This record gives sequence, structure tokens and C-alpha cells, in this order.
Amino acid sequence: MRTFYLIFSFVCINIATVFAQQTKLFNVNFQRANIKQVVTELERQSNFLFYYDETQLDSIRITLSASEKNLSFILDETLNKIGFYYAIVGNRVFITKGNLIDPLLARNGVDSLNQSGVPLAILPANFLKEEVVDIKPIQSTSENKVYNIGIQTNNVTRENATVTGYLRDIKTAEPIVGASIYVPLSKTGITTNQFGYFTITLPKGPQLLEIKGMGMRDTKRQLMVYGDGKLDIDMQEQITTLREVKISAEKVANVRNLEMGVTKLDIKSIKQVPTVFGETDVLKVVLTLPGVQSVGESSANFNVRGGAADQNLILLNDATIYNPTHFFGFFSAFDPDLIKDVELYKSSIPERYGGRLASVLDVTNREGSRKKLTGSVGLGLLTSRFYLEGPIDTNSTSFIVGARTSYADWLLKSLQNKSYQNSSASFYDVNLDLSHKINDKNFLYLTSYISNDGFKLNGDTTYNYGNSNLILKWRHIFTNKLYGVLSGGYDYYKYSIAGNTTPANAYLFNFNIRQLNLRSDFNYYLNNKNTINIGLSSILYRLNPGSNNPVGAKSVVAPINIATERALESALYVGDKMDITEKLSVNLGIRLSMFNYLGPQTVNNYSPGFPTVPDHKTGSITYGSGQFIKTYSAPEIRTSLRYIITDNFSVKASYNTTRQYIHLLSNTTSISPTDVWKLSDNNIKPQYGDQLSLGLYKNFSSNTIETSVEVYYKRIKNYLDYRSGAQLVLNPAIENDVLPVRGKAYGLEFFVKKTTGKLNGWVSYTYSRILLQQNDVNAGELINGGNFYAANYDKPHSVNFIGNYRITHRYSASLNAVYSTGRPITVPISRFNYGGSDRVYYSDRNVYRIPDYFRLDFSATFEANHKLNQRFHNSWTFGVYNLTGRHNPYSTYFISESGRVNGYKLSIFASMIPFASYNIRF
Amino acid sequence: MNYLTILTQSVKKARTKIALVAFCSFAFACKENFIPPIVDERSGTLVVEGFINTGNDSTIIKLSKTTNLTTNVTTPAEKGATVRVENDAGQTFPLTEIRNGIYVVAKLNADISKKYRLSIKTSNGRQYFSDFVEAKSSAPVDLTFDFNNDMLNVYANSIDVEGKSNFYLLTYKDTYEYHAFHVDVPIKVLNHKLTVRDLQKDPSYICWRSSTSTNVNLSSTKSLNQDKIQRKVISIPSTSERLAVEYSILVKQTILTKEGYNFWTALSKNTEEVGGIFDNQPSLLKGNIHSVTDPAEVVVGFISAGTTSEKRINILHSQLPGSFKPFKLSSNECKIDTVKEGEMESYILNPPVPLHYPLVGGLIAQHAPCADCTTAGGTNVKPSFWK
Repeated sequence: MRTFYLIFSFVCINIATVFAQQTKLFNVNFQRANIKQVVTELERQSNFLFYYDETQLDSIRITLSASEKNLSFILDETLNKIGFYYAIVGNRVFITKGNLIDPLLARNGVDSLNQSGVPLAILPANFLKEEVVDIKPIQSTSENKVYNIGIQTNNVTRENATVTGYLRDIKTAEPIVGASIYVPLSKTGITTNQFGYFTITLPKGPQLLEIKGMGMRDTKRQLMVYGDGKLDIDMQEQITTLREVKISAEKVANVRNLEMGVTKLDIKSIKQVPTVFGETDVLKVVLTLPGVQSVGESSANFNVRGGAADQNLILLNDATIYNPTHFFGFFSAFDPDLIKDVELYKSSIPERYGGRLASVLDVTNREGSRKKLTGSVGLGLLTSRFYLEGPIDTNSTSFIVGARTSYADWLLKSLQNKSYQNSSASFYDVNLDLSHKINDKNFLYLTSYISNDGFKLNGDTTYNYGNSNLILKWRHIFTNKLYGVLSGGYDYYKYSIAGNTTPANAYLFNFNIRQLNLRSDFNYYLNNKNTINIGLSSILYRLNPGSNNPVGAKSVVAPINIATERALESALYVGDKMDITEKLSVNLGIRLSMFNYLGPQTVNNYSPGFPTVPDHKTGSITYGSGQFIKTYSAPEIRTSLRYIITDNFSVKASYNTTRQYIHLLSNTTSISPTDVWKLSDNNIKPQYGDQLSLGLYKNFSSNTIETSVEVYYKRIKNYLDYRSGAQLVLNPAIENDVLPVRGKAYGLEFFVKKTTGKLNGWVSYTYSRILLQQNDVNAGELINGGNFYAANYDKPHSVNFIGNYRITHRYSASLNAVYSTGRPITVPISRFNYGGSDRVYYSDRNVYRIPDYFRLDFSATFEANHKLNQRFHNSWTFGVYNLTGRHNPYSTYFISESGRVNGYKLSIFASMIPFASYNIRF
Repeated sequence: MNYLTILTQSVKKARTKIALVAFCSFAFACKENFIPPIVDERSGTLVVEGFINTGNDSTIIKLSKTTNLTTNVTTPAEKGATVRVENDAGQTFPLTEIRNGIYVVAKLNADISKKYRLSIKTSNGRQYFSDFVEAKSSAPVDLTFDFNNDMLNVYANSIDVEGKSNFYLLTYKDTYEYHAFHVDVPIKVLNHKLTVRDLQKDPSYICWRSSTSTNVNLSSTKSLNQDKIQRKVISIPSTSERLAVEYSILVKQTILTKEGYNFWTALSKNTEEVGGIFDNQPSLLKGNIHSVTDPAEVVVGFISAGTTSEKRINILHSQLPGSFKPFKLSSNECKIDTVKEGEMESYILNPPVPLHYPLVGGLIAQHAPCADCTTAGGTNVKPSFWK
């Protein structure tokens, strides 16, 4: 309102000034004339003298055709329209920018006014086309300044202009990913991509951009849009180093975003969640989100909306991580110092992702700072870590490197039991990322990751697993509206077991997967209603399903090498994000995926319609190198829809289909690192899933409280279960031991989140079921008589609370509460004597449950001080895991002990576990 | 299941253990008894156990029924059934019930190239058959032992040069001699009264005690390049009473078919290594016995056929390394206690107060096994195979 009055007063001033003018009339015809040409012409036709600062006006072009008009008219139509003021004193004309020279009296308020308040009268037609000039991007840092976009002209048309640019952290120059830019006037908004890049279409004229980024201070930019242009926006970090819960980039994003079922966590909110031993753990925080479950406390593997743990595509900087855990699942394999944010897609999965049924977990590391060398050292009870980042050469190349290592051996050594003293367990992981800016249009990124876990049991069995990933990305900006990313990468996962209990039995077992990836992805910003994403990706798999070889001359172990599997998985995808009306947006995406199982390989054939067991084997065929053995292809549909009901209330729906061509063979409750992966082949069909979901999103209290309700129904086909006594390792004909089952999952998720204030955090409640069924008599044995049975990770009720209370700027406290129904188990229902011992007869699969799970954790963080210029910043975190000391059963089991059946339940963290960690930042 | 799978499973198990112990060092109560709230206990299911011995040994079939998990009663026997062995050449061999639920026929001396099955007709008229199974003959088994890690380890060794055996099941029955502390105590407690003991007929000093294997000991040579096993049968700690005088073990080897091996694997996995979060889920116990009356009826058990081979070794105390100190009753356990005359009866009559054994004239009492070896659970009848 106040602005309006000021504008009004300006108008009055102008009128007053003009009134005092003589009435000399001009005939002019300026066509994109510069100020010099205009002034020369006006001075030629009259005795006026113009006074102005040439540097302020040299970038403007004036177009005007007028006859018999006075000077005021000409200046009003030209300079005044683009934010210049003029004052005519006698025959002198003063042209100024920002401040009006008042020839009469100094007025209160005028001096303080540095905003453009000139009202804009839009001309009915544009008689000139503007050329697109490749201009340098404008660096915008101020909220109060008005930035001119495009070549300034006095005639602003109704047309739209495209503005592109980067959002960057002013301190580190790192791109800000996933930040939202919202235009209140047109009620449109976009988010920045993974490079912090954005493209937005705006109506020409004055525009306000509201910018919100995770961990960044909200800001806005005032623009005067004349035409297409570039604008880089620098944002400031939230200066408070206190951890504030922010799980979504934008306060209005949950309502306005087209995607549903997407959650983004930034590292700050991840860090504030208390975990065992104080190790910041991405996956443990992901587990607190609605719709995400796990089978047990020690497992970092997760289940999304009824999906199995192998149905999650886990990406670290776009590289596939096959085993995201350390130390048998107690820790996640991602280094918290380097992570920028984590995004989980559980409902609408963008068409650019594929290959897994249930979800995509996208973990992104920060880019190294381009401005200064910084780092930190952290000391925990079980691990230590450091990272370092900084520029290599000024402003174009930067690096970030981080490493963690464990020293958990002391735990084992400190135990009384001799066999544990002979055991050892350790892990490490290293990240090295480089980013290089070739020029304004070309950027290179190299990211690499290596992790390793080693474990020796009782001095005779050595166990080892690790991921290695390397990826090179080249990003090219073709035009303001089109950019593309080309990337190539190599992902490797392996594990090995070496045993030497007796020399005769000494063996070495190896398993590994290699994949070569090639991807191209293009984003085309067609217009303000359509953004098109198109791309092509290919993965060449080379999977060694297992080899077991004797070690030493005395070993009688027969070498077994299961033939290496090869396959090519390709996809062509295209998606269009369309804003149909201001309120209705849809995303139509399609992903054509194709899978070729390749030779050399010998495959078995079975009678069609019969189970793939030896009795029905008809023969086998050997294929040569590179021959296509079996091809599967299908379109995958990725659609979503959003309708805005009011400014802070929307409804969304999505329908997605997904396919998965690689299967984890696991007959255990939790994924074990000794499980092997298997590619689809002529006998093992790809898994297929589809999901329909619907959600309501509403924000309260000026978008500080976000709420949502989502409901989903999902079908799964060809998920693998196992025949009794299945042999999953070193089985050359695995199709003999697996059973394809179908599944259905449904659920309802409630989510309430408070993003700001002293008390912030989230609460979620989820009701969800996942039921599987094997009712095909032909396929072999029926499970539970062919009826639906609960999957191992079916936990119908789940409540999570994550809360953070900021006591002062230096002290904060967090509380974390988790409740869920106990997971299903198969329990013995009767007893019999056999083989010299009492034995048990089991119930139908998964008809009982372990007791419910409840846990409360607490942590407090103390920051030493907040002096910005201090060289070292340190902080302490103290906490208690499992505050109530509840004995949450981790597993239950029934064993025959000296001829008797005993049932036990095990609780891993059966008491309060205090922890402390110390961090130094520099 | 093969050898490597078992090894990888042991790694899984170890993983659980390591993780468990690692965290137990922080936590205190980790393992607690757990009895699930069972709603549909399934008792009364027929259980068939045994082996059709086509050779020179007896065929013994045990019929019983499943019972409630939570009760302490022994599993009930299936009495009064009609049991027969049949082969695919049409021969039948009837079995007779010698004890409750134990059906026996001596020496079939039948053709090993035939296939065999079991026919059972229970007293309530229900008819069951096992599948016809191939008869497998067992190669000789040899026993070796060593002393490692303060243990006596006994190994079974067998080789089938023809490579037809592949799946081995080992069971054992072991016996050891042990002694009371006091030599020849001429009195004993009988029906809560002191009586005189006839030491000729009823010795009190030397006894023998036997036990049978309770764990399923399976081996597969499928992943080896020789059909040869070297399998540990038992490990006995150096301090065990079993080694105090003389230890004897009889190991019996049976060759299974692949289906039989799968059954025993499932049985052992379901009860010996199930429930850990990294262990396999319980698998369906798929036997080879079916009801004719009701094909859907569950019957527990797998019948195999063929010959067995067995081997016994004896290990004397003198063969043990010097570091082995097997437990023997000593004056530490056998302290002499004086009991007042009037109280003595109450000690004898009212267990669970440790039973004191009157030594002379009713004045001195002893911990029972110190005076009478039979009170420690063994027998004073010398086994036939004892030297």
C-alpha cells in the first residue's frame, strides 16, 4: 500500500513539472535509437539542452513515432516508461535514473526512494521486434534493486520473455539445486535443476520473483523485463548454523509442485536427527518419512510403499550404488559431510529414472566451493571423517574430497570371547568430485566414489564388499531454452568370501556386477506452458553370478564358475510438463524401456506353461557373443496432475508404471551382503509394477505448516519368492528355485510439517499393507495355500515424529520418536520329535508378528560460537539413542537346544545408548 | 543346498552374532525368552521317522504325533498301526510294534536295486504311503580324531569312488564310562528307605552313560570334485566328564537322495538356524509321505532306503594330551556332611534339597553321585561292546 502512495506522488510530481513547460512541438521517428541520437534530434528541433549521465543511458534503445507532440509527451513515452525521470528547468532538461531532480522543492520521502515506481502504460501494439542479443548475465544480489532484463526499450509489449540463469550461493558459488522461483503476478513457478540452472517465462514488464532455496535465506528479485535475458541470482546461506528442519525446498512447493510423493531432505535436517553412536545417517532419516519402512533396526535397507528393498534405485551423483550400507547395515555408505541433499521419489517417478520398481533415492553431493578452501574434521565413537573443498583455479575449477574410516575393531577386541578377539571389522569410503567451468555454456563434472567393508570372523573366514563408481558429465547450454547433459559412467559392486577352516576346504568366492552407463538428457523450455524433457540412456551389464575356487594345493574344493551374464538395458524417454491453465498442470511422460539379454550364454528351455523345474526342461541352447537371447520391451507411463484449488490448497494425482530387469536373490528377512543379483533372462521375467496415487496438500499459517494426505494403490508382478530349500548362490539354473509371485500394496499417508520457528519438525502417520500371492498351481508349490500373505516388511501402522527445538542460536535439542507395528514372522505352532531332537512345525508364512516397535531418541547440539570470521568453528553433539531403553525385538527365533525347542527374541539396542561427537569446521 | 551355501550362511549367522555381540557390549539385556501368542496350534499331525534298511540291519520306524508347543509332555506315540515295507517288485515286509509307536522288522536282506516305500494304516483306519524311494548303499565310514583348541574332535571320513553317494547323513551314539567317588558303598535308597545293596548284582562305582546325536549332520559333495567327506561329528571340551575314563562313539552313515537331503536340510534349518534376521525364512517341510484318504493332509517325515555303514572308536583317558583335565568327582564335590539322625529321613524323602547319601550307620551323608554312580543318570550294566 505504501508503495502505491509513493508511486502516486511521483505521478503528481511529473505532472507538476510538465505543467510548467512551454509548448514547443516535435516531430520524431526513432527506431531503436540510442540516447545520443535521440538527444541530438531533440536538441536540433529546439533550444533545449539535455543533461544526463551517458553510462546510465547507453544501453537503452528508443522507438517512437510522434508528430506535433510536446517534449513532455515524448519523454513520458520514452524515458519515463523505462524508469528514468526528467526535470525541465528553463531550457535545460535533466535526465536521471532512480532519483528525480526536483527543480522546485526537496520533498520528504523522495530521497529514500530508490525503487522504480514509475507506472507503466502498456502500449497497444509493438511496432518493433527486439533482437535477441547475447548479453552477459546480470549478477543480482540485491533485493531492492530493480534489474533490467533484455535490451531496455520504452515500448514494453504484452509478449513474454524468457529469463535464464543460475542460483548460486554467494559465499561458495555452489549452485543451489531444487530452489523455487515463484512469480506472484502470473502465479507460475519453477525449480532450479541439478546445476542450479533455471529457465522461466515472464510477461514483459515489472516482475517480482520470490526465491526459496533449502538452507538459504528466502529472497526476492525485482525485475523489469524488456526481453529475453540472463539473470544470475546469488543467495545467502541461512546464517544461523542451528539445524532447522527443512525437508522441502519451498514453502509452497508441496502445494504447487507437479510431482507427488517426492520428499527432499537437506543435510541440515538429516544431521539433527539423533542416530546410534551419533553417526549422521542419510538412510536412517529416510526411514522416518511416511511410506518408508525397514525390516529391522540394524538394517539400512528400506522398503518404499510395499516395494522390496531391491526395488529402490539408489543413486549417488547419478551413479548406481548396489550396497548403500556399511558394517552390515548399521551405517549408511554416504558421507554426511559431502551430501547436499537427498531426494526420495516414491509416487511419481520422473521419466528420466527407470530400472527399479518402487522408488528412486537420489543422493547429491555438494560441488566444491569455488571461492575458498574449507573443510572439517569429525570424530565419532566408531568413525572419523574429514573433508576438504576449494577452488583449484579461480572461478572455474573446484574440488571436494571426503573420506571416512571406522575403527570398530576395538569393540570386538574388547569382548571377552576369544573368537571375537580374532575377528575384525572395518570400513572406509572416499569421495572425490571435481567440477570445471569451460565457459558460460560448457561445464564438466567428474564424480567418483569408492567404499569398502572388510570383516574377518574368528580368523578363518574373510569377507569383503565394496562399491566403486566413476561418472563424467558434460553439460552444454545450447540456447536460453535448451540445455543438455551427456554423461558416461562406470559402476562396480563386488563381494568376496574367503574361507580356510581346514586346508581341504579353503575357498574363495567372488561375486560382482559391472555396469557401463551412457546417458543423454535434454531439457527444452518450449514456452511458459510446456517444458520438455527428452533423453536416451543405456546400461551395459556384466554380472558375474558367482565363482568359487579352491585356495592352496591341499584344497579339494571344486572350482565352480557360473557363466557371466550380459545384458543391455536401454530407454528412450520424453516428458512434457504442461501448465494447461493457471491452476491445472499435468506431466505426461513416457519411457520406452528395452532389455536385451545377451550372449555368450547357455540357457535352458522349459515347456511353455509349466514350472521352470528340471522335470519340464526341454533342452538348452548356447548363444554366441553379443547375440540377443531374449528381449523385453515395454512403455512405462509416468503421469501426474495437479490442480490448485486455492493458493495454499491443491490436489494431485499420479499414475506410474515401472519395470525392473535385475533381481536380488534373497531368501532372508533382511538383505544380506552375501545375496546375489540376477538379470532377467528367458526364464525370469522382468518385474512389473504400477501405482495410482492421489493426494491433498494444504498449507497453514502463511505456509509455515504443511500438511498432506496421500493414498496409493499398487500392483506388483513377477516379484521373486523362493521354493523351499532354494539354493540361491552358485546355482546355474536359478529358475528352478524361484517362484514368481504377485503383490498388491495400498496405504494412506498423513504428514504434517512445521518448517520454521523455534519448534520445528514433522509428524507422519502411515497405514500401509503389502500382500503377496503365489496361487499358480502350475508354477509349483503354493504359499499359504495360494492366499495373499503379508510380506516381511508389512507394518500396517507407523508413526514418526522428528522435532527440533532451538533454545538459543547456539543450543538446540532434537527429539525423535518412532512407532510401528511389529513385522510379520512365521512361528512354530507345534512340536514333534525327529532326528533325536524336538523339532517345530511352522505356521503358514508370516501370519504372526513380533511385538510392536517403539523408540525415543534425544540429542543436543552446542555450538561454540558464531563469529563469522573465526578460523575454526567447533561443535559438540550429545545424545541418547533409545531413551526409554525399550527392548525392541530385532528378531525372534526358535532353536532346538539339547533336544528342546526354545524361543528367543533378540533386542539389539536393549538399553539407552549415549553418544557424543565432536566437529571442527575450518 | 551345497557346501558353499552353508558356508555363506554361516557368515550370515556370524554377522548377526558379531553385530549382536558388538552392540550387546553396550546393551545389557539382549536375548530374552519369547513365546509367541499362538492361536491355532496344530497338534495331532502324524510324524513318521525311520529308514528302510535293505541290508543286514533292522528297519525301525517310529510313528508319533505333533503336540502343543508350550506343553512339556513328550510327543505322543501313534500306537496300534499296521506298518509294512513294500518294493516296486511287489514284495511286502510287515513290521511289528515292539514298543509304543516303534515298529520293527529285522534284516530285510532285500534287493538294493529295487525301489521301496512304506505303508502305514493307523488305528483309526487312515491309510498313508511314502513315495517309492531309490535304495542307496553306503560306502564304509572311517573315524579319526584330533585334539584342537582344547577339544577332542571326531571326524567321519568316507569316499565313494563311484561318485554316487553325494548326500550324507551322519548320526552317532556315544557312551562313556564314569565313576562314583567312593568305591563300593553297600547301601542305597530304595522307595525312600535305606536298604542294603548287593554290590555283585548292583554295582555302585562304575557306570556308563549314552547319548545320541540331536543335531542334523549333513554333507553334500556336489560342489567337490571328489565324492569324499571329512566331516566333524562331535567336539568334546577337554574338561568334559565324558573323557574322564573312556569314551566311545559309534557313527552311522546314511546316504540320502537329493529329495531326502532337501528334507533334512529344511528340518535342520527350520529348527537349528532360523529366525535370525539374516537367516533364511522357515521353509515348507516337504516330506514324502501322503495320506490316501485326504491328499491335503499334512504328514511330517521323509522315508529313505538303502544300507548304512557304521564305525566305532574308543578313546582312553591315557590317549588324551596332558593339558586335558576331564571332570571327575573329587573331595570338592563329595564333602562329607554330618546329618543329625532325626533329619536324615527328610533329606532322603524331600528332594529338591540335595539328596544326601548316608554312608555309615546313618550319620554321614554324601552328595548322591559320590556314592552311587547310577544316580547321575547312567547305568551300571556294562554295554555289550565295552571291552
